[in-house]
Amino acid sequence: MKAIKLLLTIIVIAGLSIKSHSQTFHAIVFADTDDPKIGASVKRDMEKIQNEIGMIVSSTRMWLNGYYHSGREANKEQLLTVLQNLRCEPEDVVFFYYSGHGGRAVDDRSKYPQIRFKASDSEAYPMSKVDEVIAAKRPKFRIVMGDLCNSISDYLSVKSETGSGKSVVENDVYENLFKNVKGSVLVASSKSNETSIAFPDGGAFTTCFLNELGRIVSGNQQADWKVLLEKTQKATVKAANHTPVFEVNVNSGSSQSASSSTPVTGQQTNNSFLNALINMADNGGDRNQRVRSVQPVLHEYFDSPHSIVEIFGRDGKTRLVRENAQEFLERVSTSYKLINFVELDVKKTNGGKITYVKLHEIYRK
Amino acid sequence: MKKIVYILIFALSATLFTPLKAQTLTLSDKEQAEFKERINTMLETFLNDLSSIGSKDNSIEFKKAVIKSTLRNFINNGDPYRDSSGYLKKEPHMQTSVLRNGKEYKNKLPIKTYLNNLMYIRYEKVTITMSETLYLSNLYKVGDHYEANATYFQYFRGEHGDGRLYQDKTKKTIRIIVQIEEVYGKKVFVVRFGDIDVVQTVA
Amino acid sequence: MTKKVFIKTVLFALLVSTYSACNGQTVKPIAKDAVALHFGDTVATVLASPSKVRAYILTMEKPTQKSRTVGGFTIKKNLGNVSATAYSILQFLLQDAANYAPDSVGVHKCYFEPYLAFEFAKGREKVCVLLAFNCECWGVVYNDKRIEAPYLCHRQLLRFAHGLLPDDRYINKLLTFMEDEK
Repeated sequence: MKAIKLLLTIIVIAGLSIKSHSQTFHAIVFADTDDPKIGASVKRDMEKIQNEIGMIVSSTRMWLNGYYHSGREANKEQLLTVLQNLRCEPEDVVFFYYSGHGGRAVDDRSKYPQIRFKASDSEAYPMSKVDEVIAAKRPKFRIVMGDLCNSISDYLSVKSETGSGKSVVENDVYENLFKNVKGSVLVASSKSNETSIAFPDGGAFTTCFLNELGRIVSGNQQADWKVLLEKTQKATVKAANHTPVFEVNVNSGSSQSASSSTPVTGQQTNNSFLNALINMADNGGDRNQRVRSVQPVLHEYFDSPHSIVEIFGRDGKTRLVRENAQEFLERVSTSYKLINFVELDVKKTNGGKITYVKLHEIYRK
Repeated sequence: MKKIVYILIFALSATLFTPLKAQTLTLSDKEQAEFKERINTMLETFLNDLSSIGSKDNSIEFKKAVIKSTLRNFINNGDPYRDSSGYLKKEPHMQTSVLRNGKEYKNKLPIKTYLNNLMYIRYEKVTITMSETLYLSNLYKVGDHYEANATYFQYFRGEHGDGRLYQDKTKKTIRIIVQIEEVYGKKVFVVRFGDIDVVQTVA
Repeated sequence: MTKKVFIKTVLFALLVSTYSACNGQTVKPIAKDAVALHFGDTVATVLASPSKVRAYILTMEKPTQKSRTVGGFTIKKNLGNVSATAYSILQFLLQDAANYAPDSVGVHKCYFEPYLAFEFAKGREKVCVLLAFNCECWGVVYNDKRIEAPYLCHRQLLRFAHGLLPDDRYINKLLTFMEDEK
């Protein structure tokens, strides 16, 4: 009887993970966290960007398809696979972010650099090509962003010739910057012949971009991509003496608001563990059901009730809570205003059970 | 000449002793902000938990789960505890107050007792909210841990089944303890609540 | 009287140094040559007065059986001996402490890919100076150990390189960008 109950609960949880709404936020993040020189800084970039993505999907209530690749997984082959397998609906948003090494060939015409996963020329891939491939999938809105050098290397060869885009238009904060827009944004952290700087707490460009975005969000200011990127550009020049380059080609799209037709069950993702947590949190679910789902979720995803869960702040650095899996789930099941989670790191057994997970929690205001 | 030399020696010796400094928690501005936000969230959650425990809309099963989770936010899960010197300390308490005929009556209860009583409170519906921004002091080192004080205003609203209403606004202070635990070589800051006291109650 | 004054002076000096030590201050060392500070005394000695300096253009291709290497990188072209007049500019730039970027500047997000190498020889000692224009870093290789450091004299180094290789496509391209920025 217990086993049947457990099975039913798992089916319900899994069933809720199936996409049942219209707009998806595809987050493709590649980060060279293993590099001995810049790896630590890039890791910080990745954590901060993941947190920001969590905030974006929480605010806009889009389904999240996250493709996060770091360390050994951050390579050209993996990038090509992800881009090839990317499936977009006309209302979808694609956000691509890369942090790591970069450069340009002597004869490169595009103002955007090549992503360099390794020192070898064959492992380089132009940012503009990433933009092209994603554009071909026809999402409603795409952002291609890179924090990498754009300096000229005699060793690199030209990979492709691509055209450039054009200009502007208007909008608001998370909803309007990421959801109610059509078009594209392409941005690299430095202009031709410039290097990009990595500080211990993250890339100069990434840090400046997130700071400016945070300022706009917290001040609930009127903003559009052009204003945001101009401010980012200024801040980056001041902080690290290199100039980001960008193209904004954005129109305000039809507002597909998450209206009465969309049940308030919180954001769903392609990560079933996070889906289980979202369903257990304060997203309008039945309270008794939330409490009863603690044991099934514990058995489904964790190696033991003593597996470690650490909660970090928005900076991805400040450890706020350290508890065991049982305590964590019990807390989530009775939580207030807790609506979403960002998974920053996870360790699993060979059988796929979690022994350690590092999370950032997102609360409704 | 001798006197001058001796004065010089004395003056130099005096400067060798560095002055004692007040030991505040050396958190960076960002860490302070993160912790402040965390404490704010914990407190808001705690007050909402009190509403949940007091509400007739929730099952005993849910209320018990909330109490279990809430108690983890208190020192030693709301039980008596030993301080760093080994002395046994009383469990954290919740001080409540009620206004009757314009007069304030206060009462202190161990937090566990308070929460269990709240499960069976006579009101049909209970709403407890934080009405104004939390004031949080800096974190100061006390013995082997750090402490701060938070002051907040709490709105209590109790509705009887027959429509009668009791509401008040109370200024409360809560002791915040931040313990540093080392786990697998990592330093973890653990935030816990201590005593909650009433400063003043108004209608 | 003299003995008393001497003892008091010694005591006074001891107190001063103890005071400094207790406050975490150290007696300031005599200013070292920037090369010695960053790369070591032996390197500084070799770079200061070499008997011969040779220059090379490098490639990042892996070395084959036929190719030679210098400083751990494959030689694309041997430029031969460099005159004292020419390499004195490089010495001058290396020896100026102001040309070394402080730690606060951060790390460049590009691979260290030196285009030029200068092999300084003094007796049996050899020191190789590598110039990586793509990431505005120079490196020194001594006893097969390489130390890299970001520099702040990009324009001057490019001009120096241009002086040696006025028709080099890569150097000219970099200089064009620099001139455009003015």
